[in-house]
Amino acid sequence: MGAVIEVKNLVKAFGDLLAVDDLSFTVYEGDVYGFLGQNGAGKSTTIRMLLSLIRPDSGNITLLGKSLLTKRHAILRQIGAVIERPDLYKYLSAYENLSIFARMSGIKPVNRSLMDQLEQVGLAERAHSRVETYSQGMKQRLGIAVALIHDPRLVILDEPTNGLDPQGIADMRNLIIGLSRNLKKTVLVSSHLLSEIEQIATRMIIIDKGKKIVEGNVDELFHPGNNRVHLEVAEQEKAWQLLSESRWGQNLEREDNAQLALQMPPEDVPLLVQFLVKNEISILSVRKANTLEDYFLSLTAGKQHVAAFTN
Amino acid sequence: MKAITIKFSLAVLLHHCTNIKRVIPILLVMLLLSGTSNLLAQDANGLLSEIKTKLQKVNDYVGEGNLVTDVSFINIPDSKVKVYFRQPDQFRIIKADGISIFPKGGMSVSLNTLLSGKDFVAVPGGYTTYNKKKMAVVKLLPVAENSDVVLTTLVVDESTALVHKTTTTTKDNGTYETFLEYGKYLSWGLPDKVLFVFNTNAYKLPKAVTMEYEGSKKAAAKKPAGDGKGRVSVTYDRYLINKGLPKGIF
Amino acid sequence: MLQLLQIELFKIFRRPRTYISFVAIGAIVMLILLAFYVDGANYMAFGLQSLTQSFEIQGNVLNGYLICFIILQTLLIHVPLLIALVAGDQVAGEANMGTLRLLITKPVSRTNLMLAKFFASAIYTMMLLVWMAFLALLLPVLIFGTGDLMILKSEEVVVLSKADVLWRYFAAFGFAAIAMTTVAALAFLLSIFAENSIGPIVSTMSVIIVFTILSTLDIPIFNAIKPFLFTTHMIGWKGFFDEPVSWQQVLQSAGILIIHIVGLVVASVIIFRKKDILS
Repeated sequence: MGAVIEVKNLVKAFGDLLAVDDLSFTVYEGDVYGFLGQNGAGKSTTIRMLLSLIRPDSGNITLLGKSLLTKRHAILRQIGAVIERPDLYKYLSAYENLSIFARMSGIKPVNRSLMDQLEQVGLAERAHSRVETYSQGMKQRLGIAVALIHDPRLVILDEPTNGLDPQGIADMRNLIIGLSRNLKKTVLVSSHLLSEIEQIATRMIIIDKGKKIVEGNVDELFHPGNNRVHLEVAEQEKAWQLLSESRWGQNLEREDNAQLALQMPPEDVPLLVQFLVKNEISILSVRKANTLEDYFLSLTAGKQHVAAFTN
Repeated sequence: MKAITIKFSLAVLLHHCTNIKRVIPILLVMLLLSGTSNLLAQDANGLLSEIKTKLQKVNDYVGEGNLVTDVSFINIPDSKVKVYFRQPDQFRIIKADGISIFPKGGMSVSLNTLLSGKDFVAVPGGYTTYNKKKMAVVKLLPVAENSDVVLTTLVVDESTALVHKTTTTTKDNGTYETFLEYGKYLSWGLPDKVLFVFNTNAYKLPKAVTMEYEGSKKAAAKKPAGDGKGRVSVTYDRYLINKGLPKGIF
Repeated sequence: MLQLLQIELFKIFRRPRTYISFVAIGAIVMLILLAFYVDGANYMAFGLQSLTQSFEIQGNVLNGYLICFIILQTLLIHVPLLIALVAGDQVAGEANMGTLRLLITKPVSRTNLMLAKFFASAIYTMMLLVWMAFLALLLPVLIFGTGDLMILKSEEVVVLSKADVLWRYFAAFGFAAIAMTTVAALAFLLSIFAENSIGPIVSTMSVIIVFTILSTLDIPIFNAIKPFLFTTHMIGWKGFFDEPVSWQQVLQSAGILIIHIVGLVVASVIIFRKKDILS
């Protein structure tokens, strides 16, 4: 499978703020690629650079095997996107909006193809109503229809579930999975919710402050083997000594508040407890956490755990 | 003023003469004249009545001519006009379907008044050479003492009883002159061309309120300043004399 | 490019705000016509006061041609607002609506997009002027008839004979089209920098008002900069009502305006090409 998106050493600063910092990642044909990060992590900036809305300060973007810098038109012809809110011309109907963007995408809009597309997103009945009369969910669906009208190879969806109700979120999830499975499209979908990405993505990246934290297959990243254990002990120094010489020593880390963190399969936890008790270490608490969730929690709490994920 | 011009073209001109109050200098002149130059005065009056007789052959006319206005601040194209006249003093210039601008006052000239000598006193002014011809000078003094007109001078060809030039001096509006050229209609005492010259120095257009185009100003600034005089002329192509006039002209 | 232009025109003429201008011009012209119909004679008497003190004016001064001139003189000062309403919205409005980012992700060059948007604004401007010509020239001529056109200026009173007027109006509308396109180009440039259309509309009008004040004030220090202000040249349409027309001046003004248009549009394209779309 070839690379659909190849980003290398991408940098973008707005004044003093480094929004994207030496970011590299690759999306392969057929991926549903989760683009995960907190709000302000640089997701939107990166996506906008992929779509030529923003010029990178440096770095290379290759899409569908072509350089974005030199083959912008050819590339954009094969990309469909919904960026943040699915805003369209409110004073025009869904049909008119779809027709305009179809023409701008380089295809001749035929009545039937437009209506088919609207039918697919369930808007056929309201095709000729003005968009300003639409609900948020309808607008979102129209945005998807606009993104897909020219049958793109790559679909980029920036926070597609924002502002949707639970039913809308579920519909969107199914739609994205359908795009990949039935229509064989490569999808890049960004979100600030780990759970969302976990449910739909095949591969993913987590970025923070414009830097890549981790990238890989979702299955692997969420693999139990990668679970992490937080250990709170009375004698941190002694425990550190002992553990660093043990079989878990490679994945040991110090944390604040007299805590230690280890990466280990969950089935090893009883062994770890036994080992510490045998060595007369008082265990105050043991907490098991998925590394991704853990990481995300720590981001929310404002902590830095970057080192743990640089693999 | 314009109207005056035209009347002049008919024959003689008289101007602004309805008031009868007398002005002291005029009185003095009149006293002098009446005492010492009675004979000359008689000649002047005689000449006037000759002129009058000639003019009275024309009861009415329609003149067709070309109106040319040369006033520094009036930019109007030359135009065909019709000039209507009926005795004793009805007179009108009409530009069909168009706009015409004439100096004011002309329309109120009273030919009758002039010729009757009621409001004016005619005084002989000797002879002058005009257009290489010897011509009589007749001065007309207004009887009205606060008349704006101070003096009117006529240059008359005694042999034909035609007025060739008039000069009117006013208190407030400077001096204006009329030049008459005769040709085809000489026998009727009607001129082929009338040129009216008047002072424009005193007149100022108000500053326009709306925005003006700088380009126009620049172009206007390049124009020569002129001599402070305005000129209006009518060159007649033909007259229809004593054929009656359509109703409602005046 | 033609397709883009079609799309932009479609967007402009499907918006209700586009028609505000047409309605506004219609309303103003109707009001002026009504006023002249009812009370034109008094207006003329007052307006010509200074002249009628010394001169006798004969003929039908208050005719359709004169009313057209008065309407143009009154209206052309305010039309820039109506132009800015649409041209200032071209980029800023799309940014505000959120559609700009979608447009830019389409396989269309930014240069073409900008040119299409500018030409669409220019076409709107032309249509507004055609509408104005129709209302301000045709209606008064139908109601009041034609005749010689008399215009009072600071330096002179100009009377143009009836047969010599109509071509001047066509030329004047042509010139006005250039002048108003300059306004459109300015509003268009400013609309790149804003994310809602109020900013560009207000700043376009501010520039025009300030420049116009500088153009109008007869103060020596301002006179020196007058030739460099495009507003000075925007009323060049009046040059067609001089006799003879000072062609050199009028053409020079038209040339200066065209240079402005080209400069503003080129600047718009260059700036927009480099702009990061963050809306």
